[in-house]
Amino acid sequence: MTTVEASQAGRPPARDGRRYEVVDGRLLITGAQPPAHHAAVVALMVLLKHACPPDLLVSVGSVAFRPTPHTTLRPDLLVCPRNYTITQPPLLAVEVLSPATRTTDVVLKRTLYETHQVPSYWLLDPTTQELTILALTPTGYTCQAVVQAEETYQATHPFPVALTPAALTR
Amino acid sequence: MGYVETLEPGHFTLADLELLPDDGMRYEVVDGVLLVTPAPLTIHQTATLELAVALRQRCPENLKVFVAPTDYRPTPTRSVQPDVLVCRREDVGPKLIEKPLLLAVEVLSQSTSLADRVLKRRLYEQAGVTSYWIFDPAKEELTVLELAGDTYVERAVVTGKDAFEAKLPFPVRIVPADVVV
Repeated sequence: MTTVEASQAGRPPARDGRRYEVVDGRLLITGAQPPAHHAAVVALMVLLKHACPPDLLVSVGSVAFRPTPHTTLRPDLLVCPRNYTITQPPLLAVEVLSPATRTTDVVLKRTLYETHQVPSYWLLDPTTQELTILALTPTGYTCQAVVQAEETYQATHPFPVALTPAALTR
Repeated sequence: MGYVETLEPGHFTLADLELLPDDGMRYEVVDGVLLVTPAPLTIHQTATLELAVALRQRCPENLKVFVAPTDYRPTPTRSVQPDVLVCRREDVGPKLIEKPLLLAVEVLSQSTSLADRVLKRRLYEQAGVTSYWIFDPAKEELTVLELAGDTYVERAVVTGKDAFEAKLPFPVRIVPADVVV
């Protein structure tokens, strides 16, 4: 009954392991992700936490981004100012790809983050150990790097950090 | 010691669609992600019906016109329901259609609808759907995409009283302003 009531109130249950997002008034539900996905999210979170300056916040799953009244996005990982308001773009959004989310992450989320002016969007693929770094320019996202396995990429935004896909996806 | 329950990976499958309620929502699955679309507004339904009628009037014997919810499953992990579709009569199964459609039409509920403008575009493109029309009732605007090789090119954007003389999937005249009367 709790589930039904929560749904009827327009607030889907938050603790069933699923991710609920709204895209232009449409509900997007992602099922619980495989262990490789969680491992990659946690590894990247730890790395970013250590490198993060005190005025910024690294968040996993708990902070949403609501660019319009009809759109709510929950990236796997985001970095935002500590005094963040939900309607302002985070500094970085990260999606860890899985077979279920590859198309939505690569196609739909990319356009959403671009449209709503998120300065950096990273896509980490645990299967291929590949990290794609996109940066916002006046004409949209440009690909800054596709980092493979043991290669290391020195990111400068949102803060300096060295990224090695193999170390994040073991 | 505490007991820790780990969550099984819970991708949505096409089998899950059978379990979902018949509650007026449109349920679509894209590789394990579930897309839920609320019941449409009246202007959306007007446009859907007028487009379907216009197509039906010119539709040759060997083709068929359907309106949503008609299940189109281009791959074993995708189930989508275009607002209007045209396919070959021989491709119509008792429950669903799997072969590439000749035309898929999505009527936008919000002009910004990126799920239709971006995600569905890619899905239909990958499925080999020959033509994809995006109709925006608020702007009275029809965008016509057609496959050139394996990617869509924008064939026309027609607004208001201007007429679009379609060649594909068969000759038919569409006037956006007349679709939302």
